Amino acid sequence: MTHTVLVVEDEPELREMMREALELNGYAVVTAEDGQDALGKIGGIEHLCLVILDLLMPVMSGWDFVEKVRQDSKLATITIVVHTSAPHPAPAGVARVLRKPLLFDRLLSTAREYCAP
Amino acid sequence: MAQPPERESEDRFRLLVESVRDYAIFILDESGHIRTWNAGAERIKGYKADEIIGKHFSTFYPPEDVAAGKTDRELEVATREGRFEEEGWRVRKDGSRMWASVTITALRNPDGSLVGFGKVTRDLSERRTAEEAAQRFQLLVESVKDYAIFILDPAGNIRTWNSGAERIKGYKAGEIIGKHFSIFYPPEDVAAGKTERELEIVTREGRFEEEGWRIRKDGSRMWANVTITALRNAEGTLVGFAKVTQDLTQRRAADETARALASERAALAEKTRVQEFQERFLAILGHDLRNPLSSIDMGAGILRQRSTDPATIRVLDRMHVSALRMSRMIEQILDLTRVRLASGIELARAPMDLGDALTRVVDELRTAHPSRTIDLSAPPLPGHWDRDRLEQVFSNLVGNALFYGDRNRPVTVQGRMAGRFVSVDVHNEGPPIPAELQATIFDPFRRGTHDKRESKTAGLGLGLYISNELAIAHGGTIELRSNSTEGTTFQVNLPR
Repeated sequence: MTHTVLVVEDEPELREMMREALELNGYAVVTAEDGQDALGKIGGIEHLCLVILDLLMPVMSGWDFVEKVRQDSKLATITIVVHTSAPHPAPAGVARVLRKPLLFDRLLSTAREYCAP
Repeated sequence: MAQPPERESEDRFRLLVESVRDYAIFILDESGHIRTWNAGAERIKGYKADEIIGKHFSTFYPPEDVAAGKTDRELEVATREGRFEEEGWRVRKDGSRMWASVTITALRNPDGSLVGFGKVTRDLSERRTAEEAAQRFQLLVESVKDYAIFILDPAGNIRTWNSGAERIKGYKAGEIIGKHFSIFYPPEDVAAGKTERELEIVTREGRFEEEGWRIRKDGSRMWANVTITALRNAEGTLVGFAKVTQDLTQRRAADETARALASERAALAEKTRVQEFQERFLAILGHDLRNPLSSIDMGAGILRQRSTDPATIRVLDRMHVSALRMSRMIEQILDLTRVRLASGIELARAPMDLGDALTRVVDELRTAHPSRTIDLSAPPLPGHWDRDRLEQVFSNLVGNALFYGDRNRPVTVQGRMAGRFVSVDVHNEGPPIPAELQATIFDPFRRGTHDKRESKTAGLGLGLYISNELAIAHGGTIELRSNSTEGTTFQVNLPR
């Protein structure tokens, strides 16, 4: 059973790097480019163990994504780690706030903490 | 037929009397009724001949005078003494009063019998109001202190003086009257014929005004506003000049001060704008550099994990170290701009154990510096702080201790409870921080006194500045104690 990480990030290079880094270390990865895209994909993921969520995104921001997810009882318990450069307060109820720039080691140690592969 | 000589002179006299316009000259009969009239009487009193001849001369008197029997008394005096003369109020046809000079002369036949009276009246109204006005004006002028107001004769010599002139120019009346007004002008202006030109302009155009330099009695210069006006009599002949001078020196100085102040403010505003722009630019830049940096480090990490080639691994390790340094620098720049643009550093406080955070920081540094000794003694230290930020502070302080301290001696970290506060000492042995540097050690962009090669790796010089700001943001302080006997200790005090 391969644990899946949902990476939500609007910058494509960074998004793909994070995918490669996680896949290299045994995780299945689903990526989304904004909150809207993430909402569309999240329901279809089996064994979702962690969402790594950017906050400042077009179409739908990370804040709005969290709000929508919390409203859905099936999704309400999902672990969300915020990955942001924004100085604004993070949404309530997230497990951790990772400050950008996120380096390779920290990405993997975080995934290890919330998703035993 | 030629007229007899008496008749001729009579006619000429009648012509004279009739045409005189400045005097009312007319004849009353012995009871005071008007028998003749002239142009002057019509002009002065307002009546035409056909509406006044035959009327009593008391028509011209104010009612209160008539009631008091003034007209009878006047005729009595004229009869007895030959003439009556006075200045008094008379009334015109339109009811207006005029101040008049009046002479009533008894007219007698050669045998001495009274024929009637000759009355000559002159309207002094204009002259009286002019006199009164002149008196009032003179009083005013004499008392005005802020303006020098005085009169020059047509040649430019000073004829009058006032207290304003004394105050402004410094001369007393006694020492200046009679002198030429060019005495007030700078010598270069006098040599250039300025005063003659000014009088010429005034004479031609009636008025001259300028701002210019004038000289006081003590030789000092003042910036003055000067008006010269031509004074002419009723015939239009120039009788002199009126000069009004205002001392603008203070106002000029004030204007210059205001101008200097305004340009200083503008320069300051510009400087602030530029600075804010630079800091905002820096903030945006720092912000945008993060994602690409993250990508680079991810890439290095991925390749390193895939690689078995030691040479490749070394390269990728160095890339990672660089990315880490760059990450710290960006963080520091952003913290700096946050503090400076006054948005401040936001703290995410949560209940935490500082002892635990210190353990993590020390462990990380032990791994990064395997040859060094770091002694940590910290009991549980519970409080309400921003964990990431405190780890940043102690990572900075312990890192500095390792970098600047004696490499052969341990760095010690000691935490303890101190009442409402927790207190953590970070200590290293080795040469103390120079006294002159200690005062400004928490200023931004400060670096330690090491050689150039090492200082490049020391970062931007913002570490202590930001650490101090973080302590302050938590309501705490960082104290420094550094001398040759005790080594260097940075003490962080945080309210719980």
